[in-house]
Amino acid sequence: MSKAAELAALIGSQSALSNRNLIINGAMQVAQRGTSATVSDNSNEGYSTLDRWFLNFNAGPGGALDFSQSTDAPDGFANSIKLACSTADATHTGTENIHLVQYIEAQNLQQLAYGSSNSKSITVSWYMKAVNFSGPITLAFETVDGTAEYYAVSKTPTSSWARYSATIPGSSSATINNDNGVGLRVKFVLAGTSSGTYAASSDSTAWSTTRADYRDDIGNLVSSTSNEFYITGVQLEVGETATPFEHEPYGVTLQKAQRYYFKFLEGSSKEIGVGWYYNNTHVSFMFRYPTTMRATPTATDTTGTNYYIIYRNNTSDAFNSVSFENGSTEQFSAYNNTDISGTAGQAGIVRSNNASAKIEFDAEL
Amino acid sequence: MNEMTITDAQYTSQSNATIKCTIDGVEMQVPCDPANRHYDEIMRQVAAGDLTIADAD
Repeated sequence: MSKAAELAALIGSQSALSNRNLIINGAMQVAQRGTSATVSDNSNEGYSTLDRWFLNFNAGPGGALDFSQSTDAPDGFANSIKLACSTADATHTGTENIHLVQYIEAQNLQQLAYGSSNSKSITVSWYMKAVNFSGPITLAFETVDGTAEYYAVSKTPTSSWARYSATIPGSSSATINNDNGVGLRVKFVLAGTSSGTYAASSDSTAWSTTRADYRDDIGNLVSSTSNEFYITGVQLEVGETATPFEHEPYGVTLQKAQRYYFKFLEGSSKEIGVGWYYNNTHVSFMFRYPTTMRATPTATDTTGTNYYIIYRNNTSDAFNSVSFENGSTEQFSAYNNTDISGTAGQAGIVRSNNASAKIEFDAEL
Repeated sequence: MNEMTITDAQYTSQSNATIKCTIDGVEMQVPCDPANRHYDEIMRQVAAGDLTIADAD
């Protein structure tokens, strides 16, 4: 596409010139949790590597995928998601399927005007390629509020990077509440079966309340340990035109992702903040997040002998774990009252004290 | 079928503001916020009779 054509497409797309991508981390740059994990049903399933991307082994299929951030990417991109089959499973049945999904927050989708006669079309674009896997895959959508509606189309990757797109019409009947819950599921379905319970027999041309998890021509990414699938540059925008991918600074994507997940610390000698002795055996402190989170987050701390420590009054007091008390979308108060021995009223600085110490906050959808 | 395996659920001692539990093998502290996906799943499993939350110590 020429520069003039790109500009014409942007102007004609009825969408904003910036902040038009409703997908977060579509360039696969941010990976707060880590850059690789082996995922199978109930093992690392969910959010395990790249921020905002959930790998779902739905209804217990076999097989396993190495889910990693790759530097194999098309021109103009630094990263992609790589999914490599590490354990094969030739057959799936019933409702079993494997999909990569992003859940989009409902209040960010109000511009689509779903449920009204003015509902807007959306266009999804992405780059993908595959090794020893010919697909097809299914691009599938699902609304969540009210009566769910579905839309599914089949796409076939090749062995070279290429850009794909699909335009989905609006729905005058689907419901997307104006809240902080899930508004839309955008799924790349990578494994299923032609006889699957919710396998659609043809590409959707309109939203339907008939459940369509994927197309019945679906391939099976876990059919062989030689199979690999790569994807990046995922963009979801209002309008009927796939405009050029909207690149954004790493820090902007990181901040967007931290609304849903935030790793406060990992490793030793990482500062937490001020702590004070409520009494001789109870030290209190608090965590503040860098941005307002979507909901009060789940807190996770690794635990072990002397993983955390408070320095006060020319000495220190180590403790093994953190108990979280009162949380909000801005902060979480915390304490330890099982390992502490100090002097009521004294204060100090709390920090991590072991390479394996880690504290995370999760408000994902 | 439960998508999360949740065990050892117990309200924490200071108040009933959080629930300590193990989800898919990882110990977590879940706030009692209906918008939190872990709390939502805990309450769904409690309602289904698949999970009991112990009182605080």
